[in-house]
Amino acid sequence: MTAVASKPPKSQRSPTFWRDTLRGYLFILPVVLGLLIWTFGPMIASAYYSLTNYKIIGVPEFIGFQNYIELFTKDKAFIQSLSITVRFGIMFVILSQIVGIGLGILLTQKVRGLTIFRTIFYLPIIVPAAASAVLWKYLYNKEFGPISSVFQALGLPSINWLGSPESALFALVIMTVWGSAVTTIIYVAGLQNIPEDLIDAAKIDGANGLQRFWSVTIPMLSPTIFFNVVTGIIGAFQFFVPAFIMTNGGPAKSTYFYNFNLYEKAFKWLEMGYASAMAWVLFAIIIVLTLFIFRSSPLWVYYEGEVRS
Amino acid sequence: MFIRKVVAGLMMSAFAIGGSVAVAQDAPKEIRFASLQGSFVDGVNTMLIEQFEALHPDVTVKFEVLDGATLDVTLAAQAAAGSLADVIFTADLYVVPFAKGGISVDMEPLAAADPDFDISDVYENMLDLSKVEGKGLYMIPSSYDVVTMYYNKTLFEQAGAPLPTAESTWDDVIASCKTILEATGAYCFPAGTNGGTTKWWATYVPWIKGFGGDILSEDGTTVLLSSPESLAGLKAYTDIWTTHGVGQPFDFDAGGDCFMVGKCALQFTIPGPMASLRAIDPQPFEWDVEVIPSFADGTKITGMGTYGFSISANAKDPQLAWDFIKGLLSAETQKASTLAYNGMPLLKSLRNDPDILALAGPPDNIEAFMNNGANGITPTYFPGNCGSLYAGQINTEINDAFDAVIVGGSSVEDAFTTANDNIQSCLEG
Amino acid sequence: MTSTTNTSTSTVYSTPNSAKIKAVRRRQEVTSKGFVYTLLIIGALVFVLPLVVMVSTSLKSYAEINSYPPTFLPNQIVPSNFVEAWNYPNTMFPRWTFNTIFIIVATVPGVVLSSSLCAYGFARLRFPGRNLWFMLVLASLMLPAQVTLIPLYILFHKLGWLNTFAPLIVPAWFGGGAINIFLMRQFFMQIPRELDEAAIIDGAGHLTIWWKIYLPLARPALISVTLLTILGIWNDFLNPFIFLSDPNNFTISLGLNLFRNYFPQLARTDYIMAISTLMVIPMIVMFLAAQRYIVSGFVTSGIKG
Repeated sequence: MTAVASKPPKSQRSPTFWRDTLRGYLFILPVVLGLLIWTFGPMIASAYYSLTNYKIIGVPEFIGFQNYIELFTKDKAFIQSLSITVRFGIMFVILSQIVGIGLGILLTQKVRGLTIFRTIFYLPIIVPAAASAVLWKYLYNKEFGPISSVFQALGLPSINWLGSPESALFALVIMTVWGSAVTTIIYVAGLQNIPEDLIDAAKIDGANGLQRFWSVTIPMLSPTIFFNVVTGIIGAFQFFVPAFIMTNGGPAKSTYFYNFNLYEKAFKWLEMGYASAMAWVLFAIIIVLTLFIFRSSPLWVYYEGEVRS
Repeated sequence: MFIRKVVAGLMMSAFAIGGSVAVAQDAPKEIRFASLQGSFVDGVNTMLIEQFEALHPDVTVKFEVLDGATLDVTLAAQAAAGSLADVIFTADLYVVPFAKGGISVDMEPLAAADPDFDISDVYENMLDLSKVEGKGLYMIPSSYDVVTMYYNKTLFEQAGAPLPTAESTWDDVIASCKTILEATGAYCFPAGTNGGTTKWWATYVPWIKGFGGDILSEDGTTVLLSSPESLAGLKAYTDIWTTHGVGQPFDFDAGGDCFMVGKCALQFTIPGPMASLRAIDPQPFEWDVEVIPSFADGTKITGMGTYGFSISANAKDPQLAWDFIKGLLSAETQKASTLAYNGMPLLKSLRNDPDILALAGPPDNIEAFMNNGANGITPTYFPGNCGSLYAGQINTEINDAFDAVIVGGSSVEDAFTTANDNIQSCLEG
Repeated sequence: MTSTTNTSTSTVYSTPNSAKIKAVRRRQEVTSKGFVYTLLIIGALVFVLPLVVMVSTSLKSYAEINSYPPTFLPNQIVPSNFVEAWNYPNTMFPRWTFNTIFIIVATVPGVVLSSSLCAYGFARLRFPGRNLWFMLVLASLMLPAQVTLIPLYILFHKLGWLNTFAPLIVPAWFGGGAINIFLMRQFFMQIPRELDEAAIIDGAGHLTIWWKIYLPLARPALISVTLLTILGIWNDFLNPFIFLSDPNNFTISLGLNLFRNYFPQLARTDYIMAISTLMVIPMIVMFLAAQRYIVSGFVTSGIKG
């Protein structure tokens, strides 16, 4: 996104302007249509619901911004669930980039059995969600879970991962990082895309491993990092199902994610209008965050073919 | 409205694109039946379909599956789209919201008009679960599901504690529990995930009532959670966790259902889980059931909860749907369900059925389920928009209060007075 | 691909001191390789642990799973779990597997083609509103699914697509998912523009450039997208569950989910793990096989020299 797509004044438009425009839209036609039908239609509907007291059953009544006001002033769970979601997001995005890049580098070394290793590290995403929750509940069990056994063997104190408010959130982060091998896969593909001649050139210039990492690998990887950070944030803000299955928002509401609150309001209280308002607030927050990252991207994201000092 | 037009326009254009899908308008008569799949309901599903097909051989039954854990999402989506099946699976917690929203149909007129159907044979208190504001019939319940006490005989005997009997009081039981805790390290009262079972109305409301209190005044205007009697009942109940220590701590993960793995000596639930327990081979321990213990004044109170079926408002032919649903209360269905250990008969006429009484244990004392029936109460109904004991602000406030007392160490008075006042202010708008 | 050591050194030095230097280098290689191996093995153990638990649980008897304290490895191996789960009454796993594969086959080409097409438009073409539409594509990812669920459900109901595979297949052809467009765009933007320019001079149109140059070069990304799409559909629970109600049309993950609620209060964990293990095996095979095809696009590019 380096070019600013502001419209050139009519006098400066290239002679092929209309043809380019048509062609451009033809290329993106599938997603434009798709967005209009499957996404924006429902989104507009949900925006409309957010201005009503739609209870799924019955006719929605227009009440203006009342839902939003109530959300900001009367909902105790709003701030709490938002802060939990944000904390989770920060921990998860940072940790998963570190693990993803680390594993990506390990998995692009010339070692034997690479294929097997790669498959092992990709395995977590293969596990169906229904099984994953059951598995990790067992792993995290303080009394007899394997993690506790390992800790005890190492002489570390045994932690009640999912049972104490302080650690439950972090436990979910670990579990999600384990399960987000997608990040690793993307990093592997991204690392493979770095031309060898750049690395060789750096070696000839006398750069050691660490220097090569920071001045060649990371910049060349920055589009991938950008992708993973943005999708990581989006994913973190939508996190809900594992908390629902494993901890039910507890203990003491320490894993009561924003979307958990939303789900309850929508389907247990049948307050669909209010839940729609919640969704739009979340939407706005994510957009602001993403815009911020996008705007900052020219500073740190490098695409091939650009000149940097 | 403009936005409506835009939304409709978008939908219309999408409809045009997908409009080639033909919708058969005059297909042969069919009835859509949406239910869960599970050990406890498969037999019922089959019997309902068979009985209906015998009655109406010209109508095809289209069976649709709902998922238990996400039932509320699916039914809500279907309700919004107006695409609910003719006969839908439902549960006690949906009775009121669906009835009030016009999603389920009042079946009382259909029942009254049916000469073959005798509703007086059904236990009255069970039918109360199907009423809204004391009237109507919005769900046909499936089984006489009254919360009864299961106990782990092996643990009791191991600890040398006296087994519960029909005359046991709560104090007796708690005393036994303490013995069990000391001797074996096992708890008594399961908590469920993060205390979910502890906070189930069917277990705590009886304690409130047993001490002379109530949740809501008769006229539905005043919350009575913080009345002295209610607080006394709540204190006696939460003492199980905080003072006596015989309740499963909320953060103790037994690696499964506490009772089923043998780490909790009691469980309080409906007949259905009998089948789950019996399916564990070999049996992990000896167990039996008993009626709910009594309070100091001799009263026995327990909650009720069940699943059942309703006729949805989208049903094209309510009479046909009624013919389908009423099979649930036929003697054959009730008996078959009971003989499969999936429930207890709702019909008084089956109370002394020899086949049922002769059912092999465990549980040996299977009659306890039926004897306990008379002790069942229905959940308090709250007018207005504040939710219910199952969901909504009322549910949240009470849950938070329990958390505050059992996990946070707060006093019962403080926690429940807060809840009381919050609910009160919500009720008052 | 970031290669580390070996290839370049031995040809560069040919002085008499090279023997010692070579020995030192070799030791460094061995140490660094050893280091890499150690990390890989530790990491692999950590990552594999949950899977070991899964397989181990799938071989345990129902009684053992429900015993306290739980065991790590089964005391008694019960392979019949697999057969019983697969053939459990009221289930149709063979059919559900077929359904899932059908959906995959119908969806993947749509995802790959439409996402790369749109990504090319966003990455390489200039037209007003391009950035706006790209932001909208990203924005579509951000709305929590629960809220668009109901309107979307109503839409599908009006289209008559409920209880068919259409809601699962058709949207894939309209852009293939915002994430995939995003991913492909990122990859496309890394391809040097000289390639386009050369092709344009040769008289190629954009469609040709897309098909002949960009798609082949972005092979790692395309394969990743394909793998992830297949996996996503294989394991997807939410979408099939909300749109499918006739058991004949179920997918495998819906079948798996049945065992969660089959018994009141008790999940049929032995069967859940058995079916999960069965579900995981084809995916493992797929990942193993696909690895061979994820080779860097730049190895064969005509840029250097």
